[in-house]
Amino acid sequence: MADIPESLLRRSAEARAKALGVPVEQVLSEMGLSAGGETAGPPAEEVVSTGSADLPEDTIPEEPEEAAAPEPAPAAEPAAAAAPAAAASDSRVPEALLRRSAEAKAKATGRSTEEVLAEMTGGAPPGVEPPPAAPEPAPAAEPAAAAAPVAATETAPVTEEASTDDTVPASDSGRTTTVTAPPVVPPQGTPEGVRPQRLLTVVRAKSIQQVKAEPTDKVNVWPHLLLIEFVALLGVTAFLIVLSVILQAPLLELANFNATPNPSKAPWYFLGLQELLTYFDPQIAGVTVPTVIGLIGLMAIPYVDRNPSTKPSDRKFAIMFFTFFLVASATLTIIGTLFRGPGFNFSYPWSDGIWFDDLKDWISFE
Amino acid sequence: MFYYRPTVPAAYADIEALSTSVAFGSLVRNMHRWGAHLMVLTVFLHMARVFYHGAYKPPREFNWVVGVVLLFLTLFLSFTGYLLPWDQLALWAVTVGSNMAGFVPVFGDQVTFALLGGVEVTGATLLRFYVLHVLFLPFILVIFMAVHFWRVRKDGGISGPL
Repeated sequence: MADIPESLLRRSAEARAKALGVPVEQVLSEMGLSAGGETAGPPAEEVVSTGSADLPEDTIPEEPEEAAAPEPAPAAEPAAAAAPAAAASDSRVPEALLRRSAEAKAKATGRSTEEVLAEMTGGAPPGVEPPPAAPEPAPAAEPAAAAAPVAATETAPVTEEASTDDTVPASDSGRTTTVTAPPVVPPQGTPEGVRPQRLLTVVRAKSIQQVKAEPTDKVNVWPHLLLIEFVALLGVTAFLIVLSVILQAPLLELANFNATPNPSKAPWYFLGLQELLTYFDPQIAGVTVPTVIGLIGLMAIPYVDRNPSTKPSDRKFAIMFFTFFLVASATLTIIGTLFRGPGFNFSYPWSDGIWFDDLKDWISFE
Repeated sequence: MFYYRPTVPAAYADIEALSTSVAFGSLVRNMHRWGAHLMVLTVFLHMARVFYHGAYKPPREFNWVVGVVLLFLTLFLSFTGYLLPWDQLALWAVTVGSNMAGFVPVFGDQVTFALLGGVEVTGATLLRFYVLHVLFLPFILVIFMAVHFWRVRKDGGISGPL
């Protein structure tokens, strides 16, 4: 409970109080009580039934039921006994999810899946530490959280609650609150006060909050943008000066037409092409690739790609395509720069040295 | 430009003198060279970023084309500057680079000739590259940059994050 800010707790209590028509203080104290978990008793449970029944739609985050109907589910459950089945239907967790979580837990605790499943669906041995409260911001989470400890200790309230719940959806046109912390029983070895892992249900994707903000205001280019750019300019200049103090620009011996260096290499940004020239005919590597892909292809991108979306998930092909060329040219450039030695044969920079004069003797103080 | 003469006998000696006997000459030369490499690198990175943000999409298609032109101008600017020290590195890098231009179909020889001012890299090439590097290309580049920035403002500022 400690991790929920006071203000959130209060806001949730206010919403709930408005919905129920009771004073805020009362709700707040009830929430504190139910959230505590240890002392969950009859009063908290009362809030449960009224809470889930009466909350209007706009005060709670609506999370429509994922499973088809609440009723048929327990009937379909094969192995579990009657009471656990009722509990399972009560918690509104799809059976598959429940099972998966049971498997994971069984694996973690080293017990059999069936055992854990039975335990999770309500047959928890008494005396086990009650599970932690469900996430706070959703007021609807309270009922489940409050009910969970009860379910863990006794079976009677569970069935009672299930019955109230079953009558509710009929009048509520099938809309039920589903934020259910399935009674996750902490592993036996969990010390008191340590929060065990929580299992959340999967609900239909619908954001509670408007995530994407609309632009609300405009700011001037000066100073908001230009100041940042100016700082960036200073930073880059400083970096360049430091780099230039440390690294000497290469100046080899005087140009000599009669002494062809071996290997002869172009500037690094052309070394990808030069590398390509070793694989393909000059007509292809020297002309077709740079003009068709490099010049025409690049320029044509916005006219070919008419997909208006800028979301990466909508442009998987475009991104894949571009990344392919980017990686290919980077790879070729790196090979051509570092992995080509005399005669433009393959060489390893770590054993044969670097055969690229702009990088050679990089660290040399004058 | 004050210390450098683009002629075969003088160029190399001028660069040497620049890096040894001119105050801060070495530092400025280093900055020029590393800055040029960083510039090319930055232009590539900028292009990749713009692509991944989808920032070339309407209404910015035209600005992307301007950007591609700028990319090639940058490469050419760097390439012409590469020759000017007139050392072994410069000579043979430009020889290799301009040999590629000779593979252009039909006009290959003419392209090479226009680029080098001859059939191979000579003093004429040095002069030609010098003029391209300090006068012609910067002039074109500034025009395209102006268009580029003008379009950035006209098309609605910087592209948003993903």
